[in-house]
Amino acid sequence: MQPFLFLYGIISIGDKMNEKYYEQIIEQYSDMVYRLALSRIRNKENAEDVYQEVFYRLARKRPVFESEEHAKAWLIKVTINCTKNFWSKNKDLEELKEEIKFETPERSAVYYAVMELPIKYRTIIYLFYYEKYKISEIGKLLNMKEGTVKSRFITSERTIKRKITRR
Amino acid sequence: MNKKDYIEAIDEIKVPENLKREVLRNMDKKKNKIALSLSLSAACIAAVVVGIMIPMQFRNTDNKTVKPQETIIAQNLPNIKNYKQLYKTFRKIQKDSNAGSMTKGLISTDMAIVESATINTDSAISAGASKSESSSSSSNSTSNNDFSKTNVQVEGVDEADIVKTDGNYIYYVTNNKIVIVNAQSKNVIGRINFYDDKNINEIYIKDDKLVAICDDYENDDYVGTYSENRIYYGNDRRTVARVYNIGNKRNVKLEREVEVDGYYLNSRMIDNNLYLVTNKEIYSVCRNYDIGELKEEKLLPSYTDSVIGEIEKCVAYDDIYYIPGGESSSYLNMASFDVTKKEPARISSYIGAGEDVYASENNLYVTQTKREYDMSIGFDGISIFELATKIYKFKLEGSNVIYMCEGEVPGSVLNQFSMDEKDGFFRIATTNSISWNDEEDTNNLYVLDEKLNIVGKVENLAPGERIYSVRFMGKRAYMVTFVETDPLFVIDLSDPTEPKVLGELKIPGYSNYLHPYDDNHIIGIGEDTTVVDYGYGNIVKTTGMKMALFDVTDPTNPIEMYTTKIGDSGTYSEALDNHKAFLFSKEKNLLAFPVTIRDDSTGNYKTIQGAIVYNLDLENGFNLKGLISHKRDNVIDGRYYDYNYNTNVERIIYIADELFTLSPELIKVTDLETMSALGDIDI
Repeated sequence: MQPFLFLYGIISIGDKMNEKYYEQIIEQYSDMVYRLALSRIRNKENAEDVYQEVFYRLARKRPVFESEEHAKAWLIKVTINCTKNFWSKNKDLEELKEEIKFETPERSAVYYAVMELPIKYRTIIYLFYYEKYKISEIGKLLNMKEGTVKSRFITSERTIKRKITRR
Repeated sequence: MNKKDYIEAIDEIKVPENLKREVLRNMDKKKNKIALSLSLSAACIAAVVVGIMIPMQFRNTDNKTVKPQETIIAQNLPNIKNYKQLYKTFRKIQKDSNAGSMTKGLISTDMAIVESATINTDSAISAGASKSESSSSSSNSTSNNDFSKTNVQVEGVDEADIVKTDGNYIYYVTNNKIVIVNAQSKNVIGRINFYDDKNINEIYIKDDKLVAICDDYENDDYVGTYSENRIYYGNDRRTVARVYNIGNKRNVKLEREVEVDGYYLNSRMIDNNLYLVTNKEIYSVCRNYDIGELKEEKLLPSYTDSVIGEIEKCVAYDDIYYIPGGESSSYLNMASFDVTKKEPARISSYIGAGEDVYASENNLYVTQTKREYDMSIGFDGISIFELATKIYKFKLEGSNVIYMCEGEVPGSVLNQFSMDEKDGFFRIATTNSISWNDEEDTNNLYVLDEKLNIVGKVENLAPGERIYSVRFMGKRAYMVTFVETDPLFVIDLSDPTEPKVLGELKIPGYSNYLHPYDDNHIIGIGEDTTVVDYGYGNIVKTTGMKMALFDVTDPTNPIEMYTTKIGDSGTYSEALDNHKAFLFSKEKNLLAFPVTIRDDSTGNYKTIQGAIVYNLDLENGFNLKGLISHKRDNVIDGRYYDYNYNTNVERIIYIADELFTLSPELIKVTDLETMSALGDIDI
């Protein structure tokens, strides 16, 4: 039993990360994880699965976070990994359905214009505008070169503008 | 429409309450059970790894660990002497970066002290479908030289890509494996699989060696510690170069593995020498911890080289340099080695970071952009200010890389094609956007001497526009800038101290990539545009892809000789962003690239993905030969993107008179003359 206790010790050592700590993280970042998953998967049902998978990983691994930023970055990274897994298992076309009714038509227009972009493009838009990440940081999160993020970001903006004016 | 609407829309999206409750409940339940099951599985894995490891260890010719040769000399560059100095350096940078001057690392890539057991257990080579392929198949290789090579920027300086061919075999990276296809018999003869923890990016081939550049950034299951009682969980991104012996295709052997800290930035291969550049972020630990709380090896970049043993080594202080002015809480790691020899790789680290990499046959240049961000401005692309570009120059001497000097120019570079070297002079084209107003953007070209001092320049070209593509060809540079129309500038560089604009051509649309046709003609590939006014000012609208052939025989009067359009708005090709997707052969009168064509002509949106193939010559211009699609059902209705990437053509290569189009599911073979289908290879 000794090695098991030892490993158990490794997992729960540290600042005695208690349940409150993780509950707080869940409360605080639930919407973010769900929004990011939805923006990458474009389907409520599957986004909910990804959401559960992300927090299952949190429950299983119980990471100790250095800071709030660290927790947020970890959750984003894991959400991206989980959606990547989802896409590698589901390669068929997933149609974008206009499932969400927004309060104003403007919100709906811009939201679905973003959602029509290819996955990497709309992820960049989400992380940049909503989560306020810098281009360099998005590059690290998505494992893309900063220049690529930059050019995709510029292309995305152009495309969104075009789509919205066409509607 | 603006940023505000988008943010408000996202604000409205909430996770269903019941789902959140369930997750919270699970958190509670998992507490004890999971810890135990994880420990059990960890124990199992450990046992398995040890079991596998023993027979698969690399066999060193002699058991002594060889020290890397001390040949890397950085001239005029401060050396980091010890842990204390290293800690202080990072602490200072991290404090400064907190004040917001340079880009700040967020995601930690703090290194793990990886157990030595990880090497070589995750690569399996399985025999392919063709049983008839004899083990001596490599001996039939002909001296056939009529095949396409990766479209590289500088002749003689190879760039890695997802497909390579030697004229007899095709090596194609897809779905995290390398598929080896016999181009003559059209059979898959082998696969090199990479499993979950490694992700293969691209490859090189050189005679009987195949070099696979992989990363293991997916390793998010990593738990580490900063100090004795602190647990840390983070990204531990490492770049791995694997050398396989492919002399016998039925029995591909992993010969060597060099693993370097940091994520893959870029690489080059000249003759037998591989140059690998990685960036390793250092999380802002020095700001939060005292020197005594951190472990020395956690701050040092590390590497493993199977030639000197499978144990992870830290880069020696002698090989860590500090580039003044390049402050960034990260390392730029340089690894280089001869892939045919068993000499230890040379590894050196520089405190700084890199973005774009350009290499001539003699020197390698890495750029770093100084940026500032302004979040207050919305969807207009004016929220990023690019102030200046730092250039680090490294001399390439065989497998040895020597840091030479650094320089700085105003503005930022677009990509590797923004840079060039000729007769000892380094040329670089930049866009300068120093204010929030696009209209104040300017474009520049600088000529720098061997020490990277600016000796000549042309500034303030096309105010209000941005560079979309650049190509240096000998004594001239061609530069495309754009806002509403596309000026193609011809810049004379025959006197390095006095570059001057010889001519310009204004046409609608822009080129994203310029490729030399011959000394006096250039192919441009880009997008066509029109200017429309929906009632609130001019908006530039792309109307499809466009190709053009420019005649620059008279540099003062460049002419658009031929143009051709592809599809409607929404048409895209990877070649617009990545030159490696572009195939051109003047001898073969062949131009081809993968494309997703959007066709709105019928009133319904239709999308076709495939390889588009043209004839191109000076007499007749562009002549569409055909479109090769891998889709079973060619047309996808609707305005949604097609996610079946498995039939998306990614690259096109030719061998003699056969064209091979490659997609993750199959390779199609087409006769180059008649464009008739010769067969499919399922992969």
